[in-house]
Amino acid sequence: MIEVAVTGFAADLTAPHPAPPHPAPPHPAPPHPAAPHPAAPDGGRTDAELLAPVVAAALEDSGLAPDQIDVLGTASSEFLGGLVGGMMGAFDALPGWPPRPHSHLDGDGAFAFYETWIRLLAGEGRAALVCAFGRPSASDRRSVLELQLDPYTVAPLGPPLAALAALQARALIDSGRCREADLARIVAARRPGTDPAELLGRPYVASPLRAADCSTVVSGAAAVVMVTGDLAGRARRVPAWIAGAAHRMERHYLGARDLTTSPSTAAVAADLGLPGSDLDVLEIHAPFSHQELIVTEAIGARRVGRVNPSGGALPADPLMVTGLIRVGMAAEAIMAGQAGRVVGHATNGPCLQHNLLVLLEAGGG
Amino acid sequence: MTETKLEFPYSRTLGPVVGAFLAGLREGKLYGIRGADGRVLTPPLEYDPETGESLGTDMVPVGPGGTVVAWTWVEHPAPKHPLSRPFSFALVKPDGADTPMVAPVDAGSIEKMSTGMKVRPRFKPEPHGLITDLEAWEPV
Amino acid sequence: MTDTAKEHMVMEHLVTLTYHERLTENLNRYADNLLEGRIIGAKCPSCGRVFVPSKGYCSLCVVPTTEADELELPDTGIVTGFTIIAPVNYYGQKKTEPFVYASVLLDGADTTLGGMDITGVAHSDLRSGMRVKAKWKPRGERSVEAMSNRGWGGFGDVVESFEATGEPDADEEAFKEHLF
Repeated sequence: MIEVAVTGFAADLTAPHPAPPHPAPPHPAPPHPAAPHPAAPDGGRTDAELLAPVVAAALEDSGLAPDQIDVLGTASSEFLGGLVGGMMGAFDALPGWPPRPHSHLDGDGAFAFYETWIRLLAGEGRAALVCAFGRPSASDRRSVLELQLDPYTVAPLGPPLAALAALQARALIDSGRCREADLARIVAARRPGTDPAELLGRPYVASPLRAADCSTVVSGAAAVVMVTGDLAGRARRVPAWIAGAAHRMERHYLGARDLTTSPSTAAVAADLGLPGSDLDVLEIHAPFSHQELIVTEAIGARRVGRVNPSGGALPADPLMVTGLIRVGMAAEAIMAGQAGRVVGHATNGPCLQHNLLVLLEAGGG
Repeated sequence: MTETKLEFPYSRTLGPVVGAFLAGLREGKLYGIRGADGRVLTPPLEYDPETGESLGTDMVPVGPGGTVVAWTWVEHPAPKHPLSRPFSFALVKPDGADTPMVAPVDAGSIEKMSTGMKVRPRFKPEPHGLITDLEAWEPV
Repeated sequence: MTDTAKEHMVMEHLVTLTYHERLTENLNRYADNLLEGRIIGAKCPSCGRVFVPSKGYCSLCVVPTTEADELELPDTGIVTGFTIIAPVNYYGQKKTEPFVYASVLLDGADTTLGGMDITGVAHSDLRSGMRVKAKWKPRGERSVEAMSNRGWGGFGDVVESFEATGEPDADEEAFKEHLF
């Protein structure tokens, strides 16, 4: 039985937009897109420039040299990046020669993490590097993510992602399982310096959601090194052993789902033996505040020591990187010697359509 | 600061189920389809979302009235939105249907919106065979 | 199904996405110099290869390059490879007549400029190894607006073409490692 541990992790988040994540335009709405664009929030760096430092840092963490990496898994979004084949420019930052097995995923890096783990389990190599990079701040995020919607009956209406999340939040509130004050408490916990009572006085961007309930989109990159048992000893810190990982996807049409629950997360949690168990850290990929409640409930742990000690996705959401950061930050808690059993969650699609969980443990190997 | 524009022109074949649904909208009619468990799905789907079975092409008339099951409010509509004045994006369940559809509700102000409110459809006078032929739902 | 329904079995959907971004610092310097008629590259401090334009790092050594590593290159070079494209009338294609799409290796560079037009020679006489020199647009007509961080560097819209100089062709040894 091959066992795999995370032994290196690094992430870089650039400064958030100077403006709120969903600024309310003056009415009537200006021609779209509004110009001039705010100062470049990616600091004017290319994907490769974002990626190179985190790759170097994750490799150093793992104690491995670039030529010891057997398998590469990468993730980004061509639509967010705005250039078909543009991810190949970023590959300059990866160990490239001699060529080695490499899969690129158009999606969140957490799903590339899953696939790369499977490849190591299948014996394709002893060490792998998983990277994700995204500069969604270079484009109109809303238009891009709307392309995920049903192109016949939903996308032509142009619903913003925040509006669809708001339908989910409304349904959750109507079900009696939370109130707006609960959402404000989540926001205050994730965004330092905010006060729940003051938050409730702010205007809605999509009732019942306020701007602070919606993640702040930034650019970013992350890299994870994972190795099979015999290489874990090279790690500079405590290896975080992957005890299990799985993902499930729900139906596409929003109206065909109960938006207040996450059956895909619940199914994965059951596979991993999470319901009723104890977790030291749970890192949740919730781009909207209320989704943290839905995911936590679906996992059904008996006790969770800390939820999103990293701050979660709300204060900094580099699209296509955020999920990998959640998995990496969960592993980080073990590598730093602060936790023994942790879960990282990642999601994709509107209203938590597709969910992935990774269970990591300190013991093993 | 540089600007780049990408355009992707798609022609989408609608098929016998979505095509029939959109054709119905042209005539001011709403249709669903019966799922494997007997529930009426609106908009109609070709395959059952639970079992994957083909659901055939027999449309089930639904509506014309409907009920709001979830809603949010768009204070500043964008040019791409179906209405140019503030409106609600909602999940509206047509009478006789078992699933709600994403749709705009033209209520005038957020104060008029509530979960469970009854609405009726307003169709465009000049239909194009698109989902936007159902211009909006209005409070009854 | 009614005939009306059959007539409307296809829907058109135009997806338009617009991107705004600031050029990276090194591309900004490169673009500013192009507008002035100067071509700037960067020499890798590790392997010595000269990249035009600089990506801000050497993509083989994965080490950063800075302004201190930059150098000016001549506007002369060699056609390393080319094709002649008979334009297909796809969405967005503006060309109507066959056109040259050539790679040019500037003297002293290790990377080529792609997609260049070559003039001063009939299409039938084009060959790899031809010596060429940039034919700059007048200063006021030069544009770098089409450049972006997301492309492969590019050359903006600052030259009319590269024009054949009539010098003897370069030996294949001079460019065989630099075809694209």
